[in-house]
Amino acid sequence: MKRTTYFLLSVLLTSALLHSCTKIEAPYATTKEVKADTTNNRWVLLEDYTGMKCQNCPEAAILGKTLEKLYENQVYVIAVHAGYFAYPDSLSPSSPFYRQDFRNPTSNTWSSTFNVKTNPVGNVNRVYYNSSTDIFMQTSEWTGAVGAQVKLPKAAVISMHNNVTITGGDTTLSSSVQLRFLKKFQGSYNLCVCIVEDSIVGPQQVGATVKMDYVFNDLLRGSINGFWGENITSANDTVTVIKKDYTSRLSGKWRTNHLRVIAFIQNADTKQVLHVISKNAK
Amino acid sequence: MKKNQNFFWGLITTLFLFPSIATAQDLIKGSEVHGNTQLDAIYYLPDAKLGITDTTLDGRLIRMNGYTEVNYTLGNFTAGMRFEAYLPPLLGYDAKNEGLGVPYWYVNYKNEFLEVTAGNFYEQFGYGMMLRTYQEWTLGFDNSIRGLRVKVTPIKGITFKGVYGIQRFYWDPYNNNTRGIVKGFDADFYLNDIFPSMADSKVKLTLGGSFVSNFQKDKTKDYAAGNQILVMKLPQNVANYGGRFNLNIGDFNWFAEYAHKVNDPSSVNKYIYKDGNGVFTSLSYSTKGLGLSLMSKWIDNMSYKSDRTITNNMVDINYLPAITKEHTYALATMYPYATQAKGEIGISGTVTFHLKKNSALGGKTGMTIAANFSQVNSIIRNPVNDIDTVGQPGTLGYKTKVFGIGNEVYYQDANLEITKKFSKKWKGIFTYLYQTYNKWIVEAHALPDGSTTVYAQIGVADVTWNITKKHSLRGELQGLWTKQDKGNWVAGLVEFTIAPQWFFSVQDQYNYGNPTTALRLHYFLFSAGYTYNSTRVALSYGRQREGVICVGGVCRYVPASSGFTLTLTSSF
Repeated sequence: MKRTTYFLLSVLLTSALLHSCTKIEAPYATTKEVKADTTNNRWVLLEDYTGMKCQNCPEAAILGKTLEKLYENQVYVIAVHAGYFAYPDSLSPSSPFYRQDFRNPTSNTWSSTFNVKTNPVGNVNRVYYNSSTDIFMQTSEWTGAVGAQVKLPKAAVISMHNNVTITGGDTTLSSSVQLRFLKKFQGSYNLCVCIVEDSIVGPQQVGATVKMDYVFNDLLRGSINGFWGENITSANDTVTVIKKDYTSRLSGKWRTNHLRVIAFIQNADTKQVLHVISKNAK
Repeated sequence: MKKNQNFFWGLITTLFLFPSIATAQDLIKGSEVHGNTQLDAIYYLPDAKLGITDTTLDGRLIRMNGYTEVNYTLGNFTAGMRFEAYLPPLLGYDAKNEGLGVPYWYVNYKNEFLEVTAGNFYEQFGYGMMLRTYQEWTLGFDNSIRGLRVKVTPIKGITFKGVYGIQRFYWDPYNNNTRGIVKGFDADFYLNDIFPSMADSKVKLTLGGSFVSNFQKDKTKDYAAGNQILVMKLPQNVANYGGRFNLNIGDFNWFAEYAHKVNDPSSVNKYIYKDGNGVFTSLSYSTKGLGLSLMSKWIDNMSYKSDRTITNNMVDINYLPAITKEHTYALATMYPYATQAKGEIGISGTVTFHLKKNSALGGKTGMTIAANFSQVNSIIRNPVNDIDTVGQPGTLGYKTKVFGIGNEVYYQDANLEITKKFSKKWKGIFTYLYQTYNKWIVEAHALPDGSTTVYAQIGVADVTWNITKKHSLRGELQGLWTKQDKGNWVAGLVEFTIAPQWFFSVQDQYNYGNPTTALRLHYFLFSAGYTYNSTRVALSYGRQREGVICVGGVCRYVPASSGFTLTLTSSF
C-alpha cells in the first residue's frame, strides 16, 4: 500500500510538472512592419566584429545589411576586422588564401579594449541588451537590440560634409562635422570619425568552403581623430552648435569612390553611442 | 560585491535551516574538514614561429587558473565552498572567466529519509539527457545550479529528487530573469529493494523517470530573416522529460534512456520549433577474460540550455552521452569528437580479451587485446513542406526519421590496443588507430583546401622498463599519417620516474609533413614533477600545439603557446 502511494505520488507530481511546459502552435512567427524614423528617433551604430577566416561571419554580415535596409538611413554597420579570425596568412601561413590584412590600429584597439574573443559578435550602440555585463551579443540578438535602440528619441542632430582631393601622389580627405545636442547631457562625450570601405573583393570562409570573390562591405579602415575620438562637451546646452573639421591623408590602397565616413557621438567613459551619421567620402 | 552578498546569504541560510549550528558549543569535536586545491599558471613567451608576439600577448604574460575547495562535515551536516581565481584565465579559456570569488557554496543536511541542499549543487538524473550539472576543470566548464535540492528516500529502493534554481554563467549575477529558472523532478525505483520477493533474484531492475522545465520570461523575439523581421512566439516554459531502465542479469547489463524535449527555439537550433528527442542505450557483458560493450545513441535537436541565446558550452541543463573512445596519447588526441547536440546517430563497440598466462597466444606473462570501433553520422533531415527550407528559422525546421542514418560521417574511430608484459621488468602497450574526422562539423572549420574531412592513421608504441623497484624508464613513439589538414606528425617521449616522488620527461611532437614548409615545427616540452603525500608540483617548459581538448564529448579549443607551466594539486 505504502509503495503504491509513493508511486502514485510521483506520477501525480510529474503530471503537475507537465504544466510547466509551453507548447507553441503554428504559425510560430508573424511578420513585423518596420518603419525607420530618421526625424524623431535615434540613429544606430551596429558594430560587427568579424574576420575573413570566420565561417559564420558572412551570415552575420548579411544580417547587418538586412537591418541597414530595413531601417534605412537609421542604422549603420561598421565591420571591425580584428583578432584570431582576421589574422592574415602572410604572418602565419596556416592556409594559402588569406593574404589581405584588414586589421588596423583602431580595430585592434577596440577589439582588445572590449575583450572580443569570438566572431561573429556585435554590439548595438555599445549598450547592454539582455545582459548586464556584456555589450556584445550573438547575431540572434541583433534584431531585437536594433529594434530597441531605433525606438529611442533622438538625442542629437548631426550633419557631415566630406571632400576628397588628390594632389600629386597624395589623397586627402576633408571632413566637416556639425552637431547639436537636443537635451542637456550628463557626462563627457566624444565625437569619433571613422573611415569604412565597401566592395572589397577577397577570400572569405563561408560555411565549409572558401569563397574567393567574397565582397566585404562596411570594412573599418581606421579612425581619423583617435581611437575614441575627440571631446565635444565644452558646453552643456542644447543651443551650441559644435563644429569640427578634419583633414587626413588617405592610404593609396583605398579606393576613394568606395569610401564612406561614419561619425558618431559616444560617451567618453562608457563608450555608449548616442547618435551616428554616414556619408560618402566624395 | 554581489559575490560577497551571495556568500553572506549562504551563511544566513545555513543558520536559518540549521539553527542548532548557531548555538552549538563545539563546532570542532567530531567534525571533519576536507578539501583540494589546484593551480595552473603559465608564463607565456613570444614565439614568432607560432605567430605569438608581444602584441598578441598584450602584456598578459602570466596567466593563472586556480581554485580551492573546502568541505566541512559535522554529523549529518555538510557545508562547503570553492574559491576560484582566473587572473587572467589561461589562453583557450573563455575571457569571461576573468575574475575571482566564491561561485560555489552549499550547505547540506542528510539523514536516511531526507537530504536537503541549499546553495550550489551538482546533480544528475539518469544518464543526464534531461539534467546533469557538473564541473570539469580542464574544460573551464561549470553548469552548477544555485538553489534548492531535496532528496527523499521514503522506503528502501525509492528515491525522489527535486531541484529548483538558476545556473552558473561565468561570474554574472542573476537578476530579473537574465537567464532561466530550472526546476526538475526525478524518481528512481530499484524494484529488487521495493519488492521483497525480488530481493534475491538474479534479475535486477531499476526504473526511473524525470521531468525538467526551464522558465524564461520573454514571450516574443524579433528575428531578421530575408527582408523582413519575424516576431517569433517563444515558449516561456521548455520541458524535457523521459524515462530509463537498467536491467542486470548475471554478467549482462542493459541500460536505456529516452528523452523528449518540447519546442525549444534557440540560437543553437536557429529558432526552429521542432521537438527534440534523444535515445541512449548500452549493453555490456563481462566474464573472466572477456569484456564486451555496445553503445548506441540517436540525438535530434537536443541542446537544452537555461538561456536560449547562448551557443557555447555554458548553461547546459542536460548532458548528451559520448560513445566514442577517449584517447590519452598525444597524437591520438589530435582529432577528438565533440557531441553534436543538433543531431547525430552513433554506435560504438568494444571487445577486450585477456589471454591467460602460459597460453598459446598469451605467452608466459599473458596479454590483453582491446578492439574498439565507433562511428557517428548525421541524422536524416527533410523539409517540412515544399515552401520552407531545412532549418528555416520560425518553422518546424525539418522532419526526421527515428534512427534514420544520414549520409554525412561525423566521426569514425577503429582502434586496436595490445598490452603485453614481456618480463618482470619490461611492459609494452601498442596501439593502432584509423580515424575519420569531420573537422567542419566538430570544429566548425573547414580544411585549408575547403574540404571537410581528415582521414588519419595513428600508431603508438609505449614501452616501460622497470629498472629497479623505484626507478623506471618509459618511452613513447607515435606517428600520425594523413594527407589532409596539417599532414604527418611524429612524436616521442622519454620519462624517468623515481617512485614515488620524482619524474622527469622530455617530449617532442614534430609536424614534419605540414604542407607549408614554414610550419614544419617541433613542439618540445621538458617537464619535471615532485609528489609529496597528496601534493604534486610539476613544472614544464616548451610549446603547446594548437588543438581541441574533449572530455565526455564536451570540448575546448586550445591555442598554440610557448612558455613555462606550473601545476600544483593537493588534497587534504
